[in-house]
This record gives sequence, C-alpha cells and structure tokens, in this order.
Amino acid sequence: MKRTIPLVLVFTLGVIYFFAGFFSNSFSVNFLQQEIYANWLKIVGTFAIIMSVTSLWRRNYIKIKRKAPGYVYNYIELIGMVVMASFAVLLPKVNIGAGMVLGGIEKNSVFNWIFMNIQVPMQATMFSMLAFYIASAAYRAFRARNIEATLLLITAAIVMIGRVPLGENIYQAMSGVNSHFLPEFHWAGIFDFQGITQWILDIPNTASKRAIVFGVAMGGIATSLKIVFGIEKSWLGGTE
Amino acid sequence: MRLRKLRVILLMLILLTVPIFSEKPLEVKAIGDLQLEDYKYDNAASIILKFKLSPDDFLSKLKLSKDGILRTSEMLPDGNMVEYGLLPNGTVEIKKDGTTKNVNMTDLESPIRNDLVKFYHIYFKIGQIKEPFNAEEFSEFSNISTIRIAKNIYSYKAKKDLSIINKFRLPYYKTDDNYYYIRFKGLDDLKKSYIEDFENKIKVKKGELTFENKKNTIKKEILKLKEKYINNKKKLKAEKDQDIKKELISLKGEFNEEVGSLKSKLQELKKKKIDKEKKNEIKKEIILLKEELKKAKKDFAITFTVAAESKEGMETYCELFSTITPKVEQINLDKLWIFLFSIGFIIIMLLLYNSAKKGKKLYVRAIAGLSAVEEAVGRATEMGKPVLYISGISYITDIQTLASINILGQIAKKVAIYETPLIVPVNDPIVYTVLREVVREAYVDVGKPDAYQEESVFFLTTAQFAYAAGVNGIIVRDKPSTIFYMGSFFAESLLMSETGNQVGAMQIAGTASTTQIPFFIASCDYTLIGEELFAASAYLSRDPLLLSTIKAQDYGKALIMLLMILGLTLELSGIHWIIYILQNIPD
Repeated sequence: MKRTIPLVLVFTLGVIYFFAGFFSNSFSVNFLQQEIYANWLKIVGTFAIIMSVTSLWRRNYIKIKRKAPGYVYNYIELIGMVVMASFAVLLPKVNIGAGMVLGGIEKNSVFNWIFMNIQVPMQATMFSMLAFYIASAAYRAFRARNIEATLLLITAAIVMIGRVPLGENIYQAMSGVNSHFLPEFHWAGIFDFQGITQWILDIPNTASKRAIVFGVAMGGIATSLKIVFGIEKSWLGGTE
Repeated sequence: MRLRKLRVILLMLILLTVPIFSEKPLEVKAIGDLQLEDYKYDNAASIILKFKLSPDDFLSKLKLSKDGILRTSEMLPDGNMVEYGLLPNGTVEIKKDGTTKNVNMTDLESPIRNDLVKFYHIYFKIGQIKEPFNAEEFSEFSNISTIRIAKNIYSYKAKKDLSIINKFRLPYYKTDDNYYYIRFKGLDDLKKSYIEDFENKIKVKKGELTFENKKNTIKKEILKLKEKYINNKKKLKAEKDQDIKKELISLKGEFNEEVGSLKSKLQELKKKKIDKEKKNEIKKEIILLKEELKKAKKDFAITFTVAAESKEGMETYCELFSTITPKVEQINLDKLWIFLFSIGFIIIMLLLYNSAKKGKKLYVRAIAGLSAVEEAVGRATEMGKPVLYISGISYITDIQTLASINILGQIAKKVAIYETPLIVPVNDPIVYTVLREVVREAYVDVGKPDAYQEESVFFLTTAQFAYAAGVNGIIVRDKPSTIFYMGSFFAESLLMSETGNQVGAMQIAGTASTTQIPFFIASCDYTLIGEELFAASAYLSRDPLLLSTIKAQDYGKALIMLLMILGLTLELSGIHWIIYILQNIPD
C-alpha cells in the first residue's frame, strides 16, 4: 500500500499532465498548470522548509556537541540563522533612524541590510573565484597528452586569441603584409582569429551541443515515462 | 498484475473525461484598413495577432476594449521578449512625501506608472481590490508611498464600456520583413470579471426588490408585538401583586421601545418604497441582465484595436471583434507532431519493456563513468573515507534532479552494503525530503537499516554560491574519497569539482547542462554526458526491465537521425514540407 498509492498517483497525474501539455483549454492551462501545479508545489515546499531547517539545526547541533573539526563554523551558522530569523519575524517594525526599520524584510529593514552587505558580497566573492578555478582546470585540460587533448589545446588557443583584441590586431597586421606580399591570394585569412572563432562556435560547437541536447531530450522523456509507468521505483527508495 | 489493471482503468477514465473540457472553435472578424495577416489563440487566455505594415509605417496604438488584465513580460513565438501592461481608465490618488494628489493614469510619471502597472498586475484582480493599498508593504514599489485607486474606475460597476488605456512598453515584435506580432493575454480573466460584474448587478437589483418583502415582515412583527402588548395590559389589570405589576409595567415600556424602533425602520423603508411600475421595471431589467449574462457566458466578445501611423501622420487601423467564449481549439495542433512522436516513443518503450519481461537479453554499451561507480565506492571503503553525493542545485521539477534521485538510490545501496559513510548536502528543501527517504529506504532494502545515519542527508542552503562554499568546506574538512556530481549544475560546478580534484578525490560527474559539461570533463575523472545521466540508474541496477528504457532512448535517437537524413535529402531535392513541419513545431 505504501508503494501502490504513490505509484497510482504518479501514473494518474502523469497521464493527465501528459495530455494537458497538448490541450490548450482553460482547464489544462489555468487549472492544471497554474492552480494545481504552482500552488501545490508551494504548499509542499512550505512543509519541506520546516523539515529542512530542522535538519540544518540538528546537523549543526550534533557537530557542536561532538566538537567536530571546525565546529566554530557551526556556531556561526546557527547564530546567523537565529539572528536573521529574529530580524525577519520576531522583532517589531519600529523605526531605528536613518530610514531603517528594525523588523521585517522590506528594502529598508535591518534584515535586508545584512543580506545586501554580507550575503551578497560573499556570494560575489565565491563567484569571482571561478576565474582562478577555470585557469587551473584549463591548464590541466589543455596539456597535450594525446591527439584529442592537442586538438583541444589548439582550438582553445584559437578561440582565446579570437576573443581578445590581440586576434584582431594580428589579422590587421597580416592583412597589411598581405597587400604587399602575394596580394592575389588572401592568405591573411588564416589569421582571421575572430572569424575562425565564430566558425568554431557556430558550426562544430553548435552541432555537438545539439547532439547532446537530442540525447538529453530522449533521456528526459524516457526517465519521465519510467517513473510514470512505475518501471523506475528508485525514487520511492528500494526496488520492490 | 492488479496494479496493471488499475493503470488501464485509470487511463480509460482519464481519456473519458477529455470531452468534458472540450470547447468550440473561435471566431475573429476584422474591420478596418489595416490588414490582419493571421491570428492565433495560443492558449486559453491569449491571442497573437500578425500584421504586415509598409516599411515607412509604425504601430501607434494598441487597444483592448471592455476591460483588461495586466501582464508584464511575454515570450513571443519568435523567442523575443515583450513587456507591456494594461491599466484601467481613471484617476489614482497618490500620497507622496506627505502630499496627496489625484492624477489621471495617462498622466502618471513613467516610473510611478511602471510601478503601478506591476502592482496592478501582481496584486489586483478585478473585484478583489483591497483599498487603500499601502505600497510601503511591498518593497518593489519604491516610487510610491500610498496608492488608492478610486472605487468607480476599475470595473463596469460605474462605466460599462470602459476602454482600457494601453500604454505598451515594447508592445510587439517586428520581423525583418515588416511583420508585427502582437500578443494580448488575460482574455479569460477579462471574461470572468465581466461575468462577475453582471452577477453583482443582478444581485443589486434583486436587493431593491426585497424592500417590499422586508416591509411586510416588519408589519407582521409590529402586529405580534401589539398583541403581546394587549395581553400584557389585560394581565396588568387582573394582577394584584405589586411586584408582578411593576414587572409588567417595565415590560410595557420595553414593548413601546421595540415597536418604536420597528416603526422607524418601517418609515425608512417607506421612503425607499417603490411603486408597482418601478418594481416591474426592475424585474424587466433583471430579466435583461440575465439574458445578457447568459449571452456573455456563451459568446463573450471583445474588441482589439491596432492602429498604424505613416510618416505623413496618416493613421490606419484595424478593429478585431473576437468571440472568446469558446476561447481556443481543444487540441493545440501545433504540437500534433510532438504528440505523435511521444506516442510512438511510448509504444516503442512498452514493446521493449515487454520483450525484456519475456526474458530477451538487451545489449547496452558499457559506460565508463558508470562502470567506475563500484570501484569508486570500493575505494572510499578501503580508505575509510566518506562518499559525497551532490544532487545538483535545481528543483524537484527538473528532470535532471529526478534522474539524480534515481542514481542516488542505486549508489546508496552500494554504500550501505559496505557501510561506507555517505554525505548528501542538499540545496532544495523538497529535494532534501525526497533524498532522505530514498537513502533511508536504500539502507533498509539491503538489510542494513541500523547503518543509516539521519544526519548523512541534510539541507545546506538554497543560495547557489553559499551552497558551493558549504560543499567546498565539507570537501576540505572531511576529505571524501569519492565525490559524485549528478544533476543540474550552473556556475558553481567548477568551484566544487576543482576543490574535489585538489583534495585528490575520485570524481564522477553527470549532467545534461551543456554549459557545465566541459568543466566537469576538465576536473573530474569520469563524466556522464547528457543522456548518460538518465541511463545511469538503469545501468547501475542492471535490471533488464530498466535497461529496456535505455534501448528505447536509442531507438528514439535513431528515429531523429533518420528524420535528419530524410530532411536533408528532401531539402536538397527541393522538397520542403519536412522543414516546414519541423519549423512550425513550438519550443
């Protein structure tokens, strides 16, 4: 019964929503796709948040209790959670001067101030670190260990030159030489890094991307059908 | 077997309900100089109009008569974004910096107007307007402190043929060959509000009629009280006990008071008294309103006006009368080919599933990344270090997340057998609740429920880079021997996988996000590319029934390849119908 009910529900709703995608009446567009889908997800999400916060609290508490390595961070996380929740929910919306409000989550609230001045810059810091990670990963990926890696290295070098002003400068310089030396052949074209880069991105890159997208689409459909028809039961946990 | 029968019954029931929701086709009549090239109701509530103008002309006016519901941005079939909004005609009272002024909506300053458009769209539904509206509660409306929309301007209650001002921002999409696509949305809400207005009107009229009934009820009550008064008087005369006499006298006073109040009510009603002629008039009005309502429910018509202006200032226009009761065609024929393909795919899948059930062996090519899963878990067990599983940062509605959930089910079983520690930090609350159950059940399934640790699956945060920072912290502190990245990833993919690489973990990634695949290839030992992610769960389980679905995937791809070759051949031979079909399939 524990498995039959979810399987029956998934099958019923799966079939209904499959057809809803091809029907354009108000029942499928407004009721199924907006009222039910969006609202139910919100309701489930609300309960899931309660469970998630409990989980977060529990994990941090256990780590602090066990004095696990770096448990000071768990303290920070818990304090952060309590402070932010207090400002958002518990404290009153009283004016504290400088146009700021103590409680609530409005633009001029302390909650928003903390978010904008601590959370957002920290997120930006994480994002900016990506540049260095790319350099480190690119170094490893572009080592010419075999033919494929060598091809990758050459392609990457062309694309990189084509994406910076240097590429255009080289082409301009070579075009100048071309006009004096063998002007009947446009041999400077092989230095048109911008053009070559664009070609690489438009033709081979798009073609391979589309091939992946086709596979992904088929895989997505197959996964959905596996779940709808109850062939795949891993999402229920276990197999039987 | 029972479940199978149940499925067939359910399918039949669902298919039987389809005719209930069927709707008749629509009608559009065009009047005017401007020529309407084409129109299409793309769903129940929106219409796209297509016009062609000469290169010198430009669109100058767009109108939707009767009433309108706002919209902010819409994606046109061409993939271009338009933003526009509708506001009801009238004035708004704006309180700003301590002063109050009434401003016509057309004369609003553009930042306030834009805010109002947004606010109206988000918080107003006709007939459900809460006023006064305090804009301070909504941080996004920073330009206005208080907005109050006058009562009589937002619906038909005051003005029946209220025309909607359409100050569109980027109202249309123009193609290179001077075709204009214009979308009007919210037609169903329009109809709903129109009908509600009629119903309210009928209610008011009926209320007027009930005055007469109320009057009669009051008269009856007065008579009853008078009877009681007379009885009381008789009792008073007969009674000799002084105390009871006092009580009866006080009751007399109460009666007088009650009668007095009822009489004043009666007088009030008499003021509103309507004669028979008026009563009949109201009755007739109600009948007319009811007829109109019936008509509106059946054939609700609205008018679109599209006007173009030439360089010389000459204006041409087109008015479109549309009956939107039937709203749309029942089946979206644009998606017919997708429907047929899907049905074909389902049939192939079920056939392969049945043949696998009968014991037919299906060949599935080896996938290096998945073959390495056993080795990766074994490595973690030998090293006594945990296995870290990242399920992506998307929602439960993402098919990649669903695939990831299925893969975790299989990996958790392997981990449970070896009793290797498992760490699953999760990004989304709903995904967290599902993953927790999946891991718990996996431990139960292999007979090791005691080995399951509640805190092994935990919620970290919903913020993208905070999540990446959290995962990096876990990688650096716990130094997992094996890390799986399965699901939907964005810019955080490399931040996590590169950290994993630096601590020397064996990393297996799988994603269908094409922009992240190169990063995973660069930093992970094995990467499942695109479709392999969806095949992973079946591959790991080695269940022939599940493997049959991978086979179906391959057949689907073969079909697409065949179509591509056919299309190319036909196109080169000058036959264009297949390209026409493919180009007309919506995204």
